[in-house]
Amino acid sequence: MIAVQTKLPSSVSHVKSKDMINNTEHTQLSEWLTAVADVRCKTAFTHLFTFFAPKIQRIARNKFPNEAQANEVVQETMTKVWRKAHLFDADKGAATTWVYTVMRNVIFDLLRKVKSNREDNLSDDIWPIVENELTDDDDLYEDHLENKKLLRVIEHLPESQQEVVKGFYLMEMSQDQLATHLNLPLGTIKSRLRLALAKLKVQLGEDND
Amino acid sequence: MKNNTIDLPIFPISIFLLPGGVARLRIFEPRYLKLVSMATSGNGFVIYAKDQDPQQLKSWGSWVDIINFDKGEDGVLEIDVKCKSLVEISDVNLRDHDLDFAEVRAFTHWSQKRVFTHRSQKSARSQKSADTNLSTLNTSLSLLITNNALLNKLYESKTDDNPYWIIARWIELLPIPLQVKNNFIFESSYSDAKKLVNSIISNSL
Repeated sequence: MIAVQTKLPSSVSHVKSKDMINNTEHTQLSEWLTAVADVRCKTAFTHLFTFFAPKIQRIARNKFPNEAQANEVVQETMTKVWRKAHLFDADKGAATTWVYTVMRNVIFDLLRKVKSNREDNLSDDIWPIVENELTDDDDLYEDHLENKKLLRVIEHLPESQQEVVKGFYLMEMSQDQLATHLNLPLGTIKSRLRLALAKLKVQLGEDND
Repeated sequence: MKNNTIDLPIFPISIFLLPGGVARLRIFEPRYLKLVSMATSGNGFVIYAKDQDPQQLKSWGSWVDIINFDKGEDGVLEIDVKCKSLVEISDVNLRDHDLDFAEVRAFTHWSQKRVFTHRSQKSARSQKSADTNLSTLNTSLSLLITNNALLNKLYESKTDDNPYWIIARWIELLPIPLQVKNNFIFESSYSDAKKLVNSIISNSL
């Protein structure tokens, strides 16, 4: 299940967006990405690399003091782009959004490796930098209707999946799980719960007299 | 004693957490990514369960600290939070697209109590039966936590001799309506909570 489209927080960024991406370029990038996915086109990938690598490099250099780490981010991201291009769906969003999402996850993995030394992994620094790159792109593809449809779909998911999509793992057993845990039939659990709650209601009524 | 209020960001989500309780949240909305970055350098944040009794005079929330973070399988940020206190929220006004703050005041809850071995007051027999119930609840709870992948990760210690801790965790975990769980927040409700848990888990009073 896909989480709802993330729009990154606006905050002061330290990187100026020198590259305004227009519609034609979006289409071109999409085509290249699709070519990589469909026929493993090396030429298309080279174009993608030429386009993205410097941008990723710049973002990574802002996040990692170490040049080697920044290079690793570029390497890892573009490798993943090559390997997972088939997961890109041109109908669902921009190629830039997709690639930067891959990059974000790569950065996360790398940060996690050094996380014990850094309390500020989750600082504002990561997101505004990326957001500045994405702002113009996102405006082209924002679709309120799509979001509403998505929300309706979420409502129809089984509850456990709903919770995961909405933002948390339910910290509560289901009646089924309770039954399994206590090694009792579900019916017994249901009546126990019913009785316990009824008793509680009476108790609380008494307490409030 | 000063009326100590503190300004904290609010995370509206229907999850019931008492002091000592740990939960894992997935953060992808930008306003909550911001909340997380504020919380890590500041004072944590408040989880506010929206479906509280509208009749209630005061809303309450769970004041949590972020104790761990990771990336979920789908690339979304997951944070582990631990509740350190409950708070009263006097004025909740949730906006749709922005991050909300509220002035909150911490209050103590029975789950934060410590127990002292003070057996002289109870009769030997009633003490024994209380102990049996408690040890049943304790064992059952630690088994549950150990056997559930997520709970096992969240709770380093699967057990605690403190009966208040045990009952608190059970109330969080049991499949009873949030409205019912709300009853164990404000009043001196420990004994009611204990009776409820015992009648479900131990099938006894």
